[in-house]
Amino acid sequence: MTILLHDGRRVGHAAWLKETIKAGLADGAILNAFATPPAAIPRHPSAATVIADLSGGQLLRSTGPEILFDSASWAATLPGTDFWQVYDEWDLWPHHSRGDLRDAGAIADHVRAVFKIQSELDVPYLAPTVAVDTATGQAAETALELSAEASRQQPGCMITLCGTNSFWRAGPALDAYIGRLARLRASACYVIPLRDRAGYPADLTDTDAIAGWLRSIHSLSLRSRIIAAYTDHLGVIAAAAGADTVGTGWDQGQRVCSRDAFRMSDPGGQNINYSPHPGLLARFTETVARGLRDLASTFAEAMRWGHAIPSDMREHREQHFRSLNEQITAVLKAGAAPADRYPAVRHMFTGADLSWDQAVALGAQGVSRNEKALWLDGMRNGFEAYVLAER
Amino acid sequence: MAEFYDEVAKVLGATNLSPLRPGGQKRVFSAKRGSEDVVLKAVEILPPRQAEVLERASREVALLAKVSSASGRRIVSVRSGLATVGDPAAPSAVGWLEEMLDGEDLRDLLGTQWSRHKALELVQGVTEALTYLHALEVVHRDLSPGNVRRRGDGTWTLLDPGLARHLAEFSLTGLYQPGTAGYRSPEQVPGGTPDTYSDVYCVGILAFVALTARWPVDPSGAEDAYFKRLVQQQPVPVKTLRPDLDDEFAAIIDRCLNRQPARRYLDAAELLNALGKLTPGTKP
Repeated sequence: MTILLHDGRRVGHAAWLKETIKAGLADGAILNAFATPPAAIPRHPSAATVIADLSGGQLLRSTGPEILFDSASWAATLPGTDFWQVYDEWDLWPHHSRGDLRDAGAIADHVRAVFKIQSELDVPYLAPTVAVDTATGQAAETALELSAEASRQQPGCMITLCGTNSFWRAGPALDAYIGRLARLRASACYVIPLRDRAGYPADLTDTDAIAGWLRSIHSLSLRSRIIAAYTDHLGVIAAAAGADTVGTGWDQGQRVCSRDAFRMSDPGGQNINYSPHPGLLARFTETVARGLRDLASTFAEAMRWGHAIPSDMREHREQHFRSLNEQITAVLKAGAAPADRYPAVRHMFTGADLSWDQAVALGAQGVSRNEKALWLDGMRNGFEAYVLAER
Repeated sequence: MAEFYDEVAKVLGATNLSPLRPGGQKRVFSAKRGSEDVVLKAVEILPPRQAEVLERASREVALLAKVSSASGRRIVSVRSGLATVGDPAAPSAVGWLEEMLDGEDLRDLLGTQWSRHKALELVQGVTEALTYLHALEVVHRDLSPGNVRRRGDGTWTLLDPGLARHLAEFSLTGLYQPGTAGYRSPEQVPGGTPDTYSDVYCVGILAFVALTARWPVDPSGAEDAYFKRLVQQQPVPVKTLRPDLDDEFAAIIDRCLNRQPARRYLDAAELLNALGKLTPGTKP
């Protein structure tokens, strides 16, 4: 399993990327046009500098950490996006106004511009896309055209698929759309679940949408590597469905992709100093973690898989990535095919379910049925709906 | 007054017309041109659909000419250019000649459970024919038994790619979908977007029907209900009805018939590659 770190706007972000990758806690980074500028600005190094720093001068395409550059056209074309300070420094729309994808010429020009930048940065070709709300209609066709044009310009390039809940729950229409994407035979698919609301953990109340997202990962993974972007702890079920790579980070905006992250009022930079409790498939704030430990130290330690409650930001980050890696590895070890992995995930869910009941019974602050629903039930229901449809 | 097909035959130098299919806007006859046995296809062009019919006919003839010579008798060959009757810009009828195939239509051969060997020959033959279309980004879109024929020497040959759509040239998604009930893919419903993997699904139908004498998705009843079943219902594994079938061949048929296009073979070349790995089996 590969863990890639999403980009962020906070000062110090580039240094944390380097530190985390160097420590072996992540395998690379996904820079994006909203967070890292083409030329240095105060307190933000240029993309080329970040890449050189991360790779230590190694040739990226053969050795060293994996680094991608997401042009984030899907975010630039979202209604309400207004954080253009960094984005507009990139020459992504050379012959058209920003977001203009009105015809084949405009689409080809935009793809060419994205690939030119990626070529200059010496990173793999990752096609741009637009976010889709439905599996049919203009946005869906534009997204498909962007992917098709990218595949024409650079056969075998990575393609991007960014969908909202309504897209992922589109049933047979979604499956038909995924078939059209699969026909492009992309080397990899960068799959983004765009949430309606910011917040961590992501809102997982839409069971059909989670099932559709997993079913699509499964279908696309038969031919392409799947990078499950902004997936974080959901990497457990994404890996079970066939994802090879999970995107995450330390901030909310790296773990959950929402429209808010591209607005001036962005709450995405919020650091999430949560203590991982893999036994509960949950992450708790330090206060909640300590409260639980004070009530039942042995049980709480078991839920943390033996790790201590992190005491600073670095420990928070380390534990998060270690925990994520351990959980996903446990799923992958179960077998190569998705069906072989389902029992391992179910075993985790069953264990977490019993442990949650135990934890709730302890009466710790912030460990209630509501939190259980937030962390476990939504993910479990979506996974079970996906598995049921696979029979 | 001469019928439109008589006028077309005259332009093409065809004689001795004998109907092969029931009448309609498109008429099919066996005929003679000199000493050669040929098939005459004539299409009457009535307003307001002149442009559509002319374009379809032109496409069919151009396509046939392009692929038939390369296909090694897997696709019926064209024996003339497109002939027009009346004003060439707005003809009242068009027509062309195709080779006369001996043998039998697949529709006359179905109805009993075929042997594995016989079904595999059918699937391989049709799939090989499709590779020539798919290589040109063309989808047949009506892979029904009436469009598949076994020649006298046993060669399976594909007919009538007239409904084919060149994906690169025609990207409009229409509400009308050509196809034959029982032999449609889940993408061949109103508003759907058939692609090469849709033909793969239809190869799966042909195999399923040949091996089981049953439909994978029952087309009977109201059309809307059939369309709904097509997009929502996963056909039963073929081994459910033919438990004697080997796992490898059964798995290929089941994969062709996967309701989700991304999980099928994406085109005929992929399918042919999988078929090539099968053991041929023994003749019945």
